[in-house]
Amino acid sequence: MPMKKKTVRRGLLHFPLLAFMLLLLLFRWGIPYILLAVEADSLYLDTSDYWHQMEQEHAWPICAVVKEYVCQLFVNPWIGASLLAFCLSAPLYAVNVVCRRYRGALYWSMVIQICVVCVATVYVLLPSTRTRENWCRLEHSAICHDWEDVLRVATPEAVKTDHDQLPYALLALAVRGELPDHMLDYPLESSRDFDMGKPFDRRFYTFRMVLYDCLGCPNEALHNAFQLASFMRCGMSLGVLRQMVRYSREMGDNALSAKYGRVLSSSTFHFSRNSSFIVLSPPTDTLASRWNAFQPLLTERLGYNVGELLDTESPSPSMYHYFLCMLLADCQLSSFVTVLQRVRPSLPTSLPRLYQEALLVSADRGLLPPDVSGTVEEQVVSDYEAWKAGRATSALLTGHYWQYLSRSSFR
Amino acid sequence: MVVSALLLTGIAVVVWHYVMPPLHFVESEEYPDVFPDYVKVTIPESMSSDNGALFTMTMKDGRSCRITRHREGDTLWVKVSAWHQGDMEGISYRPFPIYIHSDSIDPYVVYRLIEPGYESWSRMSISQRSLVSWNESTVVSNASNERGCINCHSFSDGRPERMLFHSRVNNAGTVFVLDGNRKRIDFTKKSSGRQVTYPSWHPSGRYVAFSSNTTRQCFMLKGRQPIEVYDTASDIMVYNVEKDSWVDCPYLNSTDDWETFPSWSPDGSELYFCRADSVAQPSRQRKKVHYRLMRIAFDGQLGTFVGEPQEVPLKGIDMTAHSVSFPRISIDGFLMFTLTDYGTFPIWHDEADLWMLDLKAGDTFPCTILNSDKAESYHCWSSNGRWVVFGSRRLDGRYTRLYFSHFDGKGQFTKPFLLPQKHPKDNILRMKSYNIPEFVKGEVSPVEKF
Repeated sequence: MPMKKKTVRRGLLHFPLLAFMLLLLLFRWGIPYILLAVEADSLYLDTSDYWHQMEQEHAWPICAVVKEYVCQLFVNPWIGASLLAFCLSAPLYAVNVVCRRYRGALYWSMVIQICVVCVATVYVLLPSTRTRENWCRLEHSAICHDWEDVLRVATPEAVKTDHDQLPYALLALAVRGELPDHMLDYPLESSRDFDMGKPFDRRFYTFRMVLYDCLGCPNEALHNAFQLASFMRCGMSLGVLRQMVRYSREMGDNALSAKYGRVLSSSTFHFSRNSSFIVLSPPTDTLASRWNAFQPLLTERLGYNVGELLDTESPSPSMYHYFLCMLLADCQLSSFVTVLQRVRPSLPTSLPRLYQEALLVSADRGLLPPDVSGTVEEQVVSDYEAWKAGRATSALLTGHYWQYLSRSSFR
Repeated sequence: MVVSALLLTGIAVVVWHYVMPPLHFVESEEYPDVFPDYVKVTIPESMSSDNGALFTMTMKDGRSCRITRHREGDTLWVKVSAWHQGDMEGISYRPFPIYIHSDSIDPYVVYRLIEPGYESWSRMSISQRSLVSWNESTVVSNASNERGCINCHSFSDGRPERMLFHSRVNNAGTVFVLDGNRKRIDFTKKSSGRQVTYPSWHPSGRYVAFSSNTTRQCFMLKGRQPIEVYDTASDIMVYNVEKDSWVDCPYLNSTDDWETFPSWSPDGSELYFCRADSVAQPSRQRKKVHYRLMRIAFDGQLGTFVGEPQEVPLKGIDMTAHSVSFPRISIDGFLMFTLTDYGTFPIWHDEADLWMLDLKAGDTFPCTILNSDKAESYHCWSSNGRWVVFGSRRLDGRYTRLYFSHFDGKGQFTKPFLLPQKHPKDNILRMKSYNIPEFVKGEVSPVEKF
């Protein structure tokens, strides 16, 4: 056979390899967080209960187990992308090997492979896929406390199209201590925007889990982890189990944390450093201080819960800002002034601009003595006067508290 | 060839070193620290076959171990040798006894498997476990009611062919399985218009006493106890199974009081229950809710209550600072109950302990050997009153496990033992709690549709 024909035939034979590389890169860079979510939502455990459950619930239990086993591999996006790319390119490569004598078949195989790559590209670029990828990234980053990445996803522009991202953005700002500085960059309407609303689905419980973790309430974080688990196809997942290990450790419950860790280590890619799996609860005396601690009750109102937490031992400054900003979001100036006065010693000497603006307005409304010069900078006073007199420049028309008040339905 | 021989020898040595036990063991006078702790427990004859092979155990610190057993009369002697893999010598511990008692135990225990607490659930089942093997099978699964809730299973006189359980959310109602016949009754649509909760079969099988509870939960943002479960209202109703009617019990339906946890005496002549004064805000005032033990006489022939309820005095217990739950009476006249500082849901209270009231002598005493510093809660007597099964969270403070103990009929219990599993680690790896353990005299037929 002439050299050129041999080369062409060899190229056609191995074209799926090229397709595999293209698909690998497409999936790895196009949907990495969807791949991570595949692993986080999966559950493979080498326990009696797990095998029993699979036998009970599936007509082909071994297929279900293999599927969950393979999903574990997505813990690394490269492996996950490789698996997907392999699944899409390997069958045609097998066909090529079988039909390598027939050049027509090889050409058709190449055409099909090109179509597969095109369809995969379209899928990755679909708006619904991009939205899902963004959500997976948002949740993954929030759970990992990568707040910088959360803010990279939940930008003010992104929140305008997907309002559900706003609670994550506000939480990220609070943890970074930037909430008063950037809260009004976002299309905020009330304190309800600090929480994920109904329906009570997995998005809701994922956010609540992260939120109460950040608020220093591992009890509630664990509660929401359990709620989230009930939405998983196996009733639990590796991602939730990881969180349960962490939250129970933060609760100081080493026995419980060790239990969840032991369960997790029965999966394939989680390893227990402790050879002993028996970590029993310590005597209750060592936990007596927690037992007798003030136990504020959870309510449906996030603002109320945060307020209650401020009365417990050593709340963090970010929690103060969270609560104060929620009050400002609801235009509750009187409560804001009261709480600010109470927590003032815990805040930096120089108040954030947002608070200064709120104090100015409060003074204007008689909630404070009219002279707030000791607390509010001259520039802020000057800007406020300019806004009131109608001399505001475009910079003063947005992103300031008096302007938020004027358009807020709460007033 | 020499190199190959050396290589094979090296591999053999390594394998021997890391797989085989050491050749030399040092004798120790101490008992081994095994999990589960079966040292000096008392087990029934039926569970002792094959030299107690049912009772698998392992070293708590994860060391490899070898266990040998032999029987001498009514005692099983268990010798444990343990070693770290790779060590040249191990430790051979002092043999410990497991005592075998001739009192028989009911062959099955039925319980619900459920995640410990909170609001949502995924999978739950009422399962049965043979006590002469490791076999566990499902009696009822919530796959049958589209992942609704199933709860409060109860057996008439421990008979597997007569049982009831509740189904909630989907296919809602109380399912009666009576001698092969199945019926589901939605009591909310009957004359009472109320949902029923905790059941107790009359010994005759003709009546079932139910409490009707409006139960709520509250969650603590911080602190050791994450959940409190409480009632905002509860009453007791008695259902005549044969006549499909309610027994009139005006003293058990007070709006000022909360009545719950009905439990019949072994001869059916009395109904014991718990009563508390109602409070306006049960979640915030939960520490003011104290249930006391009550009883009222019942005429089983006429199907009527006699007289008014009387409080049952519990000597030595300040009922303004404690609360009683789950009164259950053995055939010998010993009433076991759970005592907490307050409230009606002991499993979330670490201070919850098992106590006993000798109904003949009137003495009250804690079941000290059964209790731990974590919650001990629901309990059940075997049909001959010689064994008790109870739920305890002593392992990790969150997941309820089942423990068994022998009772001598005079007030003494033996050291409790954990329900044995095929692999000891299954006690740790199971992500569900054992809820409402009930002894049953035989195997229960599965209920697949209702």
